[in-house]
Amino acid sequence: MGIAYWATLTGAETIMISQPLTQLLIGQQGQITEITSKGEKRLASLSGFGLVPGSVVTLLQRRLAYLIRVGETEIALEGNIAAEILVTVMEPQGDIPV
Amino acid sequence: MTCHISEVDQEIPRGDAVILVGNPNVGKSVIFSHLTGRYVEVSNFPGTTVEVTRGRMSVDGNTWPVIDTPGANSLIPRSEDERVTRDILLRECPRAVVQVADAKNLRRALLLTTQIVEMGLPLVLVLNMRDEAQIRGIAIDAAALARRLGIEVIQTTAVRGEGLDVLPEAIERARISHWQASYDGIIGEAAEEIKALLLPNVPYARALALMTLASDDLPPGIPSGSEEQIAAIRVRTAARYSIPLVYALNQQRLHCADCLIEGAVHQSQSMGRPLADWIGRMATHPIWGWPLLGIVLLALYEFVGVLGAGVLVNAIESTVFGQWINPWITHWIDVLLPIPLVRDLLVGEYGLVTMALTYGLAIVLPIVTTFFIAFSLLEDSGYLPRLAVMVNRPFQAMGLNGKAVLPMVLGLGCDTMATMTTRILETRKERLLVTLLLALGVPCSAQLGVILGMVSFISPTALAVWAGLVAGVMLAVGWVASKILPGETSDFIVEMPPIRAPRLDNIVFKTLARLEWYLKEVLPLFLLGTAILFVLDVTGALMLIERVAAPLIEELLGLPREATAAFLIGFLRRDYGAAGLFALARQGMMTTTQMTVSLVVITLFIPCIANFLMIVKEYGWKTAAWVTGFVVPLAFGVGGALNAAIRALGLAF
Repeated sequence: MGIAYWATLTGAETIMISQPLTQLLIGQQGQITEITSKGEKRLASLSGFGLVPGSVVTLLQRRLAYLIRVGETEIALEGNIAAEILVTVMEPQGDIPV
Repeated sequence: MTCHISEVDQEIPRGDAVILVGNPNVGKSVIFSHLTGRYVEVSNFPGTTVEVTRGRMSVDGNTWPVIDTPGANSLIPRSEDERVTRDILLRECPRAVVQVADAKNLRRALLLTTQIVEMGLPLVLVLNMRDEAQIRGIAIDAAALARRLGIEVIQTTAVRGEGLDVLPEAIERARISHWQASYDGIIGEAAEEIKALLLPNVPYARALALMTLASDDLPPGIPSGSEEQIAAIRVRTAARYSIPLVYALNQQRLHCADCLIEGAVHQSQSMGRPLADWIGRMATHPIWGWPLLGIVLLALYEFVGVLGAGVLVNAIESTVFGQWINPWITHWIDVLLPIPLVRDLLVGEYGLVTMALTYGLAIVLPIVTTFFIAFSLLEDSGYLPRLAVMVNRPFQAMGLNGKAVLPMVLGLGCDTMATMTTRILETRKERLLVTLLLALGVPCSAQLGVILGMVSFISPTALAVWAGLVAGVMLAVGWVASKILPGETSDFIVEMPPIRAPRLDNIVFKTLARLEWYLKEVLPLFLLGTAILFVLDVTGALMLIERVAAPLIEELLGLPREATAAFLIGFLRRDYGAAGLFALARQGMMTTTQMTVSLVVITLFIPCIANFLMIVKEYGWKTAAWVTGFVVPLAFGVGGALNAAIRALGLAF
């Protein structure tokens, strides 16, 4: 489950390494550090929903589509787009991935 | 109606219009109806207002036009509806802009606010859906925001009418905001360079410059000849960033928005909406989402298929029309107009009353009414975007993505309405694909109701064969067409609105509005179609056509000759054709095999005239002819193959 999971196990809450949003645990929050998409339209859509570096997102679901919450907006996106959103884990907590 | 502004603060003569703008699904349409007293379709699916709606409002004896625009997250357009909104703002020189914001998503709304403010338009900010924000523990200090922005900020819960009474006066006093988003030096310089290229006195120069910088989709008002220079500035500026310019702009705007709301928004413990949130979660759940979809479909079948197409059709057709209206009219016509030709035209086999009105009002009306009620409930509940998540994969196989589910499901109501709604899709390829699939295989509610009614005569196996075949043909055609058609599929990024309990008054209004649209659109076509049939019958042309079509209908499809008339009127409306088949089935003139074959053919059959004309309107004659020329042979081919297969295998339903 990547660094985030490892961090949970070791209790190392201060690790500030960016990882794709897709590696968050369900219910876990991350702060966006970078969006690596190249497409202008894609970046325009994401930023239109308030997804820019600094925004805090929560992962809600990963199967069928990635479901995330930013502010009070819930957004569904495809895996390849979700993987382009890099985050640092904010709260090392979460339950079993769905 | 001139509108010269070189500087934002300058006093400018303006037009009269009041323009409503806002992110998708924030309640613009409710506020529009409240201001104008005119009903617009309101739903819980982002992007429902695809056409611009106009109305009028009165304040203190003045009457102003009000324009409702499609939802937009930005004025740098990514889809047709966002472009429409941008162009209306640029062209109208409005008296005031009313930005409707979702109070719980203020930051997103302010991204749009920065762009409206840049245009120097007098603005009123309406923080709507206050109830939902409160439940989530969000409290906004509207007075503080108003002070910082220098405009009036109103809090409302529009669906309940709360807070709206002060809006008309606020519109009357609308002011230009003194707040501006600030950009870094690179963007600032580039914007100034572009501004210098614009005509002197062009309104919204700074906003235009920034829009031009952000997108090669040039807004109106750019002097011709300067495109190349502008493009050069864009390339040069873009090279100084590692990220696309539009993204850099939005980032800086959101940063300014964050500064603006700092200290004005208070978040306390959310009371949550456990049940609604739970339903929302279940609706997209990779496992539980499917049984839930099954329940939704079953409920739809019970309500539309059993209640609408069964109980109500029976009651209205056999009792109201069969026992009262038709005998009564027949009687009076015999008494008053005993001319055989007139009598036949009104109450004969292809009579305007006995056929057109009976089909239209007794068979089709109960079915569409129940469907529109059911669809409105689904729409307002917020289920449809979640359905988009569930069907994303199969839709991707057809070169689409889950976003296409709205027009496709709406097509189950009326393919013509749905074809119009394809405008919410982002690429031309997706719009064309959906239009083709709607015309090919999505049965509209009337047709679906008739089909479900007929299936109850046959068996679950027949239903499975029908559904499987139609879905299979659509998948195959979608897959092939997506390989042939040039262009690309847009990203699947969809907002999930909160699950809401539908409001009865809204459901009633919406159903009535759709029914009105439907009756106006449909009944004349029913009457026209019947009249054409009548003429064909009287002149003997019908018999000739039946004879000519015999190889097709009787041999290829193995159907009784009488079914030809049903297919003929199917050219006018598929549901009308299906209703003709239904009538044959109820008279015991078709075997179950014949019913199944005829159902498949009529489902895949050519779109109705209204739908055809809508395709012409949206895409031109060539595309419409192409779609029709493809769909008709395919429908007969698939029907013929099914007939042959059933006979060869000796299947029975």
